[in-house]
Amino acid sequence: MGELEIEKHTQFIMSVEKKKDFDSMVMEHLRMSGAYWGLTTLDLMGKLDAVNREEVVSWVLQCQHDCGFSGNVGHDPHILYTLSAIQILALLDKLDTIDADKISAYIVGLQQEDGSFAGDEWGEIDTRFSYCAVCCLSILHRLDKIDVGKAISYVASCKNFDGGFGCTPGGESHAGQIFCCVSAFAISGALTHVDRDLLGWWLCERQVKSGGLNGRPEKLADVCYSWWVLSSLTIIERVHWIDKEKLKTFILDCQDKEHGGISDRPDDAVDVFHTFFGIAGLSLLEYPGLKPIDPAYALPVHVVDRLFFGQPH
Amino acid sequence: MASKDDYGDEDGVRLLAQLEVILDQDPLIDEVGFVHPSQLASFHVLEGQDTTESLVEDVQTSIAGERNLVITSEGLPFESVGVKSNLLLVDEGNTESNRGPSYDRSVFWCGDHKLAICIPALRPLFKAAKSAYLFSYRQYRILGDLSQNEDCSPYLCESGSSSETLREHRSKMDLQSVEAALLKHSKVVAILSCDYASAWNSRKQVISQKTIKEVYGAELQLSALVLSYAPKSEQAWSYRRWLIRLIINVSAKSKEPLMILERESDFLERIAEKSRMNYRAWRHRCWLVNHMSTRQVLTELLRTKRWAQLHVGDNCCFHYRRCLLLHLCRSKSSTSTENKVFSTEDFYGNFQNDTMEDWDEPFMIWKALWIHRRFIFHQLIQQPRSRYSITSSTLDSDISPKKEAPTDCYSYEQLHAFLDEEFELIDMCLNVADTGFEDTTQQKEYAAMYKMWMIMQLQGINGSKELLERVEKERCNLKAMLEKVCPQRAVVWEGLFCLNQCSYVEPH
Repeated sequence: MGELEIEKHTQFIMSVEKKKDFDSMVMEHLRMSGAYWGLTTLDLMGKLDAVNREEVVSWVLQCQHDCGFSGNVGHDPHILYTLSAIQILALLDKLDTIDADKISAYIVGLQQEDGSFAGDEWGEIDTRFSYCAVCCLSILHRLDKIDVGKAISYVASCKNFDGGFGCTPGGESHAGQIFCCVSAFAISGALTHVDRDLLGWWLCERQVKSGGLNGRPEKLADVCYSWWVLSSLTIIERVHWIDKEKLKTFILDCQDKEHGGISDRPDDAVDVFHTFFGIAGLSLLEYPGLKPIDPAYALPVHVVDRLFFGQPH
Repeated sequence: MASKDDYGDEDGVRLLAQLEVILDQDPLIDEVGFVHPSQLASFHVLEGQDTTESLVEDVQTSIAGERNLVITSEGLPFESVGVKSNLLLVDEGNTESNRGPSYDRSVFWCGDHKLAICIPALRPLFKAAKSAYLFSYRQYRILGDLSQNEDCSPYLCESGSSSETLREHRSKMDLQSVEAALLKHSKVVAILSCDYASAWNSRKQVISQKTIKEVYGAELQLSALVLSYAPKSEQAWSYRRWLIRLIINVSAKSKEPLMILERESDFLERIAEKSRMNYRAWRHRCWLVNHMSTRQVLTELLRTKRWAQLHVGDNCCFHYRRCLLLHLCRSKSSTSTENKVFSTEDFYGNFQNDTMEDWDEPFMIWKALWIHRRFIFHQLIQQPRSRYSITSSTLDSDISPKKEAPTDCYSYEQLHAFLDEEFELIDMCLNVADTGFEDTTQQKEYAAMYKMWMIMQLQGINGSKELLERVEKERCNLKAMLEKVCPQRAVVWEGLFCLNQCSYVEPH
């Protein structure tokens, strides 16, 4: 209830870095994504200057392997962290520090016969990885390097009777997977594969009494779905099908107003993951004081503009 | 030993060694938990309450009994469950030194194939494990590169008969011990940090070179162990799939894959009980359907029917049933003899069973059930459109008469009868007396949404004039119903149905 505590959230994000407890240690393999969540949130709040950009870029580059990026130094590369790394470099306007052709080649190598994408050399398939591939290559202006037609038709094959999408063909519809599939279509100019009314209906049924959004039927509301459901609805132009004010109130209720950060639901422990999705959700809801965010690339609009339309004058 | 909150790096190394011995000595450990020191202390206290006498009695009973016995290397038989395994290695004296592997009792408790680790020790343990793992992995990589190095000049090894180089021979021995170390340390890393992908990947590198089935079994056991405390661990599930693919590839012609699938089904049911609507667990279960025979699919349908009745709000279970039914649809169109076992009647019977013939009114408050009904409806009317224009006396003149419909199609009369039943059900739910509880409001809303769904689906089919008129009439009646039941969704149903435009006119 009430205001968005931008200062507190900034302090919280800056403090996450310094934690050395066990719970933080067992997250170190996904630090690249954590960094992307933290940095993008800071930029949305207009606080990116609090960060030492050179230090960040230098660390990101240490995570580069022959091909993709890993979640942290000394870990194995994966398409998830490759996307996070590219998103971070795009955010910091440092894409010139990497060899885009090499990274594209890594991603191209992960595309399977049926158009799907593996996450890494070990072969797990998931539509999330299709999104990572398409988003990453689009940012690098190399989308044409993969078989886009096949990639899209694989994602389309994951559509369910309810209009939603799962992780593989026949997989249960899940808001997170839906975000990945719809965004992949949007980035590739293939939104015709989405039944906007049917999917829009499924998505708006995610709103529960408290105003929050869940990710699947019969589940509890969780702030992260404020992003995945909302961005999907935005892309298919059905945001007016949910009660935006109630959602806004729900997200604000999930803040820890004393120590900063946002949690999955009111009064739970905060983390940088939910802080990002809460702020990103509020940005899509046009909360005052936040920069606008692109629903498909999950990057601030000014970054996407810079990527595709050059520097603003 | 008193419990500590502050363990140093040296403690970590010591504790790592102890943990690795515990894991090695009891490969049947199937559950691990991270507990508060006071909880750990209470496990030890409970254990201490068993006197040596009652233990000896237990052993004698179990020897006399007919349950499965496992013989230890010491020759003492003990049950695989129900008796604290490491305590059975005691003698009359019940001294600490006879209590199986010795370990720091303020950090670990192990018994009944369960392992507890106290929370304050996790950080130093993980640090030590990670360090040991990274070191052994580096060695593994170096040796791997060495064995592929073709620069070394060949000469006979000491035995004089083999043509491998001495370097290769030495390297093979080193590789075995380095592999063992890598597996040992990566196991602890995977247990403590379940999504540390690199640790799991290292195991894949080693295991993919092995073909002994026991190895795969042990790896499935490790994945299950991690899932016992982290049932949502993506890496543990992904590893499981990787292993099953490997097993299927290696033993395709044997009965092994079928047995694996059966055991997985049992395992997944236990997980479903513990971890409600776990997306990753159910995703894994749906993935297994691709590898199932028709008979197994039918067994699963039967099994989950009962489970779903006990867990009516579990949408994942219903989705799994949808996967099974869709798999049957696809098999039905194939020509394999196995699939002929499943007749057309069975097919529709299964679908219709899922429309809750056995489900009573109290179930109608569960959204998952209504969603399932939407699927059934959608599937049943997806049949070839030509059957809706089947010859009948009221057939519209510009639809040419069709030959007699094949038996597995829904006839015109059947469709209308089905619609009658569904609309009747909806009316019953909409007219249920208000109890003042949220349940009845929700039930009405679910019924209303289902009607919307029906209209939306029916609008898409190519039907007779009579059917289209019926659908249009129902569509025009939607607005009044929706205004009463869920006015807050007005913007949605207006968007879906353009309810302000109504072309239906009641015939006089």
